[in-house]
Amino acid sequence: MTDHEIGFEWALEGKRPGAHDDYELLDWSDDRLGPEVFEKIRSRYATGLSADLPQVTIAVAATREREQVSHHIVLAAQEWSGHRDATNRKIAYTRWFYVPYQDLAVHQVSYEALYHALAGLPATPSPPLVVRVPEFDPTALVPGSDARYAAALLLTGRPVCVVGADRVPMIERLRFLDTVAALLPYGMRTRLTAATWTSSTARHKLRLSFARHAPENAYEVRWGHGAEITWRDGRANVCLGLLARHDVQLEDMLRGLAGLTDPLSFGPEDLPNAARLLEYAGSGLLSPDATGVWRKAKPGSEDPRAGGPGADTVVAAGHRKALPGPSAPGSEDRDPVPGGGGGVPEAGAVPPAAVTVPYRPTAAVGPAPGTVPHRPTAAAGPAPNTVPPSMRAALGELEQADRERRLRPGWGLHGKVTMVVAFATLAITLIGTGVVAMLLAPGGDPPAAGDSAGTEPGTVVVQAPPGQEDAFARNLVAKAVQRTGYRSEIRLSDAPAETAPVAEPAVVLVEIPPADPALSGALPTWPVDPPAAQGFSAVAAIPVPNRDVLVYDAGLIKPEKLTAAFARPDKEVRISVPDTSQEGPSRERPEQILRQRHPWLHLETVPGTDPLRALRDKAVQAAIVPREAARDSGYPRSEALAGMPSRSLLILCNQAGGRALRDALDTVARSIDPGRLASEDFDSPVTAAARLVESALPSPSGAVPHAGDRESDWREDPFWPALSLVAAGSAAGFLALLLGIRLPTRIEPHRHQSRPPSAPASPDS
Amino acid sequence: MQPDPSRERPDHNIAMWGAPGSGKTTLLAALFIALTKSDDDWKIIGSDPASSDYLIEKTNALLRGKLFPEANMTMERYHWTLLGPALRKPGFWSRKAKPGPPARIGIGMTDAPGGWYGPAGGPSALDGSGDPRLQKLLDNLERSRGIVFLYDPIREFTLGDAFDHMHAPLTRLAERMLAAGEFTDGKLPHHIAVCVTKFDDPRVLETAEKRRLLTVDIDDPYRLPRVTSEDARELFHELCQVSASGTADMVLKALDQFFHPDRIRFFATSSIGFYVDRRTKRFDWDDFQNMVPGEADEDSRIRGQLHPINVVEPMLWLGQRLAAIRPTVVS
Repeated sequence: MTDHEIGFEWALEGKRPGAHDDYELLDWSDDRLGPEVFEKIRSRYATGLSADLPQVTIAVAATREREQVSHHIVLAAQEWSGHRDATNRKIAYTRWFYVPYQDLAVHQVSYEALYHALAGLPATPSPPLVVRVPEFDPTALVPGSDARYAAALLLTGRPVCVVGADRVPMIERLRFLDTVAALLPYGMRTRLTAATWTSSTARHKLRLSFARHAPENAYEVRWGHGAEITWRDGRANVCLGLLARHDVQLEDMLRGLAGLTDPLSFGPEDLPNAARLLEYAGSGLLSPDATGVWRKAKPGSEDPRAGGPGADTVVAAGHRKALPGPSAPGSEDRDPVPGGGGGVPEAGAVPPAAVTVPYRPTAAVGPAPGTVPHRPTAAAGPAPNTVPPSMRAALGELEQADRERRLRPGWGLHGKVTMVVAFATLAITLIGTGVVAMLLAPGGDPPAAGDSAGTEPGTVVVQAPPGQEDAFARNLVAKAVQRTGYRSEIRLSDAPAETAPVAEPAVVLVEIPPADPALSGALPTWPVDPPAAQGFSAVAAIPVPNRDVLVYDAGLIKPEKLTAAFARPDKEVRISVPDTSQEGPSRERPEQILRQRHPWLHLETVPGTDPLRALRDKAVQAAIVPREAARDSGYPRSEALAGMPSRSLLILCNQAGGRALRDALDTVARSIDPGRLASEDFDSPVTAAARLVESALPSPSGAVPHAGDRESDWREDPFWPALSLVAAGSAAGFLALLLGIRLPTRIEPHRHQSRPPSAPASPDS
Repeated sequence: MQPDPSRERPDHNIAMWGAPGSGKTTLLAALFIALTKSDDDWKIIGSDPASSDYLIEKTNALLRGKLFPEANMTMERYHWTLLGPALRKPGFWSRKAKPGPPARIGIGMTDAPGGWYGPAGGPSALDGSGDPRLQKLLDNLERSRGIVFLYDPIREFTLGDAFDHMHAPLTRLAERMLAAGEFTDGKLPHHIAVCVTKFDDPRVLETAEKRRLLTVDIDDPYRLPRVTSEDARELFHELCQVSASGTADMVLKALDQFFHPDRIRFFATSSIGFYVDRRTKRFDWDDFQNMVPGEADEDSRIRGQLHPINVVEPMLWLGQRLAAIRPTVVS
């Protein structure tokens, strides 16, 4: 196994022999980080004093230099000093070691290896402050159920306390911390605080701790066993399921997670992403070299710690492309990366690819169209392993640093003036164009959708049934039409085949009569009389996602057992079905279908108003519920219902549609995996359709359909685009005004900013 | 099992306040023993498993191991319930009184390292905006309505820094209480039990003896000397005269300035008490030291049995006074 050199800084906390005073900092490395940095960290992560030393605490810290935030892992080793104070009490030493995260991330070092390397040093190490640490081999770990539970519960954002390990040696507990951390993306170590011992009567802010009794707000995991996870802890159940998958090799998963070194927080904005990475790790969906922003050092690569605007660009692009997620302003655990996770992804608000594609490594993400990637230079930030002296006074809370970072753009005077001028020019141009367009626009109200009898040239009419459950098929076809270069116009009709246009390009969606549910595995049948006479021919069939899905209580039944219960009788499995008789004749009757298809199932009917009731009461192990009820229930979904007969819509296309359109529709229809229809991905029909089209028909360069769309929009109604232009111009003008107002006050303090007295002169200042 | 949000919370918060080594942790460790040995029918029970553990472990360490507890490195919180004798309900129409539920006082005790009160961080740091420990300390003092203030006369004689460990936190506390409108009668709303610790040290005992402040409880089989609560203030004043820095008298003045006289009580306290020979079972003026200082690399040990003096009394006084202001709700 290869050893790597890791730099560090240190401080020693204790008492002088015979001292009357309390614990204090006795000495420190006095390199880049001053005593105030260590004072803060030691006061923040105090765990109490164990009678059984040594013990280890893992803390995290961020240092801010100018606008750049650097993450550090702080390892504190507490041990007896061999000295006594004035009242003859034993003195404990706490040795604090600051290690740059990116050094660890590059070599993926474990806590245990780091502890072994640092604990062997003298109490006051002398330069060079470098230790050799072996590289981490995550596949050597054997996670027990307790570690899996702890990792899954950590992904709820709440702290986890391990109890019942009083007699377990410290080094074994430290290894447990490593194991839990290995079950999370490596980048979460930038926020994972942990300790091998904490006082049960002391309050602390550690996420993962060992104690005799768990604190009030923490999940309790029993050493060697696990935890009780209730149905309320939906995410924990889901993550636990991901960690216990049989379709993924543990070694692959651990290797994949160890490579994900992008900093990730335990805040609400990052936890969904972490869970998704957990899902993809080891499943082959992640590129083998997917490390995110902080990658293994390559010659000429950017220095991730130094960051700089260039790093920002890379980070922001990486996050936006890879893992968009909701941002939670004011959250304690905010990700330090600005601009990466802004806003909840919505269809239309971000490109479809941004919403739905699996994680992609940064390297695979090219610069966004119209943006110029920044290339950092030596002046843009310090080189690796050299942190400017102003960092000495710059330990800040991550949140503070981030806030500052968001508020203070890192441009110089020149850049600011340029930005003001650019925004002002943009504002004038946009407003001017918008006003002119509005003046030239014809009067009257904009035409209502579907108002026009005919269609514009280049438009494909999509004639489809109006049902809510058919929205997925409609959107799928519409998106595919757009992707082939046409503009789509959806027309809803109860009898789409009869009212389909003949002369213009058109796609018709007609319902396929359901196969006999009593015949297991029966294939869908084509309509008896397709409107072939009108020049339409069948292209493909689209399965319609069922309105109901099957959810289960992971604490009561395993997914394999539930799936097996649909294949052969199992007296233990009980499933509740909602009573849908009150919802009209058009509503499917899941109970009726199940009784016909799986007569051996033990079904329990529950009111349609509360379909989860029996599951909550643990009267059943699984429940068939509408998607909207399953979405927020916290229960994992089973794909056992995938074999149920579902409706399908047949795509018919006329000759005017052309071969390209038919091929595209066929490709998209074939890309649907019926087994995945029950998943959350299909809860939102618009998003699901966009994602499928994006994955099946990658966007060609030169985006013809978009240009076509814009042109037709302009021709159809120039009023709204004009108004949008004016609004955009106003926003740009406002930004220019803001920048202009802030300009003098932003420059003045920097010019006269005094350097910390102990800080040596910066070579680039 | 996952956390139970309905876990019982204390009715009254009490903070321990004193310089490093003044005996805060030892006093708490001796609480269970003191209550068990007292004639009062008061009991102390942990309100949560961690607080019960503390009582059990520290009691065992003092009784069996004869060892003093180690210094704290962070703020520890204990939730205990003091259960007293059953209250008697007056009978209806002059009938015989009936026993009611026992007196019950829930206390949340916090024990912070003495250094947190000290001037090491500088007064400016005590505004709570810098060091999170100080923020926590002030938050806790603000939330508490009872304070056990420990004055270590031996440390004062050696270093003379009791006032240093008092005035900055006290000033900041007053500032906060004033801002919160809790300075109604010109004083802090807190009750404060001032404990002159290490009463078992010969120098302290001799000072009390010279001032003729010692009494003996006739019901005490060991005939241990004590200082009544009324005389403890005079003992405090007398001990202030030997302060190494000469600032100890300012502690007394600051107490009078910031706390209402009705809300201050003095106690001469010893957590381990005096040594009593097992055979004679009588206090011996020629052989009463119960603490054996450790040699070079040894712990200080307790020589004989523990006979805590005025350990329970400050807690009960505070508990009863606070309960009288805001009675405990017995469900």
